[in-house]
Amino acid sequence: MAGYEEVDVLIIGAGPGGAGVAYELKDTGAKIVCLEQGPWVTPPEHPHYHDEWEIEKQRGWAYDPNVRQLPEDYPVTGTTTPYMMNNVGGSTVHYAGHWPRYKPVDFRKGTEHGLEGTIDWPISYEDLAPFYDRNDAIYGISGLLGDPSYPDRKNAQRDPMVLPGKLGLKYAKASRDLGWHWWPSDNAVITRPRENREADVGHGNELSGSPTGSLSTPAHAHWPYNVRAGVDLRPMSRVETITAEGGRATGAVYIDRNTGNRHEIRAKIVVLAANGIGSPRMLLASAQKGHENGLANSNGMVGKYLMHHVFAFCDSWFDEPVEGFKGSFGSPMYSHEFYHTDMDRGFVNGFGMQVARSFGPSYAAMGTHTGYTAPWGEKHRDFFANHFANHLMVFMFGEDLPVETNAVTLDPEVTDSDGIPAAHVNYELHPNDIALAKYGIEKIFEATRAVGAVETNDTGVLYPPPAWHLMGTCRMGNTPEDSVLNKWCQTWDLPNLFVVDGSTLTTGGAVNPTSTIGALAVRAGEYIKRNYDHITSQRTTPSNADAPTM
Amino acid sequence: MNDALGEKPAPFGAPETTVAPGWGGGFFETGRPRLGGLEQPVRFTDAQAAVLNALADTIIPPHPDWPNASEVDLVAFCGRYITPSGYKNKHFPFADADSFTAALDKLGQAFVDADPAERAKALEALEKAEDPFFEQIRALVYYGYYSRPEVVIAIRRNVPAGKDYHGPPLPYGYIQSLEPWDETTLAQANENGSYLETEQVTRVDLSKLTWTK
Repeated sequence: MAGYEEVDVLIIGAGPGGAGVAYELKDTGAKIVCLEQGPWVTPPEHPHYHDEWEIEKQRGWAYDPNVRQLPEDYPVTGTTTPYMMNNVGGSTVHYAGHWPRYKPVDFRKGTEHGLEGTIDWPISYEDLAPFYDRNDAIYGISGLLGDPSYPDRKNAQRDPMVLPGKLGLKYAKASRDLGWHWWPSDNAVITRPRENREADVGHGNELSGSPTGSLSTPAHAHWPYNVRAGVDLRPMSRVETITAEGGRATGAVYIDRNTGNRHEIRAKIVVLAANGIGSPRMLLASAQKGHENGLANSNGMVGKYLMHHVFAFCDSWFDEPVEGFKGSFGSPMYSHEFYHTDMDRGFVNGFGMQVARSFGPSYAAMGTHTGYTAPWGEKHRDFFANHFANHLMVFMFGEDLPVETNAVTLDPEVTDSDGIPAAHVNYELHPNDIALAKYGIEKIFEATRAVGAVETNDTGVLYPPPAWHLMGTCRMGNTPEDSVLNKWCQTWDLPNLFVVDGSTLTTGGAVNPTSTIGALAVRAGEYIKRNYDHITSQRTTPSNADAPTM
Repeated sequence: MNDALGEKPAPFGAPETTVAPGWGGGFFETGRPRLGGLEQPVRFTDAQAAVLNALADTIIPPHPDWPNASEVDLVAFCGRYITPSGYKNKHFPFADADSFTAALDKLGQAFVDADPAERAKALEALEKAEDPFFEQIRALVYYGYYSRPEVVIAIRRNVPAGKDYHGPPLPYGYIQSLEPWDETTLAQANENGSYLETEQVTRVDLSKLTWTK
């Protein structure tokens, strides 16, 4: 490794956090480099046009990097099923596109109960609301405004709703008949074409991405524009160490995965956006003189308070067509009837019910989401005829408590293909999570039976949970004692080191986190843009009260 | 070449494998599995192919309204999705050719010649013994059979709920046959639901918690 290059802003990770910050900074004239360890996945690499699209979901498009084992992946050990991808666009390249926001109460869970490691966010819903709107406009979101379970969102832009099909209409009827809240979902799926993106055609395979661009991901919504404006995006560039000196981050050493060569890059501001497992891993792996426990970890909190949400999959079958293979996978509707804490239930927090699509006939034969595998032999034909496309699945997912011992650490024995320590996850469900989830399963089947479900099956409370949501491990907080970041996503230890991804979230809510991660990225990017000179001259990270404002 | 394991790299154009977790070079063998499986499928002998087809007809028995599982070329499908001899067995359905063909050979001509009840008994024995081959062959038959275009046509013809199913999600999608929201239903959507304003959030009564640690 000889010499180094200098830039203004170095971003590590090209998912929603990194892409969002770059988008806000792209027109400032700043020299910006984004290092992404994976490739930019191209349309022909998606399985959507193949007869074998279903088995491919178990292989190169498996959600879990430990199963998928692509060159860009890194191991995650422990009792865990981490669902992430490492490529331009991050894990949104295989997400469903569910796009709910947090509610005001989600920012005040410390006030509401304060159990385990729960604290209030350092910001409120009202602080973030305008950034939700801006972020939605960048991605392209379909849906319907007016949900009475949220504050008014009159400035949000929406494409027309995705079509519900028989499946969405059925659960909407169930919720309505029971007098429950329900509302058509917001989805990161465009229903009107945009530049370089086709509108949704209801194909339903978003969990293997979208070769047409109908799924709103940074690979389509951000990076073409970031690159056009001059942001230097470098796929196949794996960061080995974030460097620091004199109380400030100085840049990073990375490996060009095409050549194997190491390079040093120095930056005035470093933005880490490698997801709720990858970011703490990177900070811990960057232990160095003066930061022996890892960067930004003087209080020992990096990696702690990992949250995934508590999950159960609930299958119902009907004696009439539901046609779950039709329609964008992003939920057609949801119910937040049980979202808020009601102490008469005996637990804090709540859960959402999110109606999901099904996949194809192989999925039906292999047991859908609940392992209800079709019998082989004489009973197979009848089973298939009665179950395929008569199926409706509802996700029960609830807010899990932030627990200190639920944590990402470094595995002392396992490394990735470049010798960087693997992440190790310890995650155990809290009794409150389990009580909440069991209640949720009952309520979901109450609804489906009310509209004629003739058969049901569920996973029970899933352990380990399907970890699509990687949250809390470098959380924002109120003081250097209760968190890793201040309210502007600056690490308390190094004022020019920002963390902007799922690890930033102080609590998890009971909603999918990507819209909130994106909103925080817009906010952090705007903050850096407005306060660049101030940040680059700070020697210590200001308190929330003393930090310059927007 | 990974000399320690005596294995060849993954057959998808990947470079060298690594030895084991934590050893120099890392945990993961590199290589992206090819869409559609192997470009050069594993070849079966005629005898092995006959056993494989007999297994397919045992797992999904013939029916006059449906293509026979033994007649939709699942032999080729299996050949594309199992791992060739000498290569690291790292992708679903995690079936290595040596073990897979050995299992076919073990069942042999006797399985092919057996009547359906006897075949079922033999397969049931594998299932009860939790032989890995059972889960591999069941997955390959289910994924393979329901991916074949002639079976997709049969689904459209035979399963009322599947009358619009057309196989690969793209290019067509289902936008033309999805029911839209109707105005009456939507008008009822705002009848229920509320939220707490930020300043309305107060401490709840934690004495009502029913769980214990």
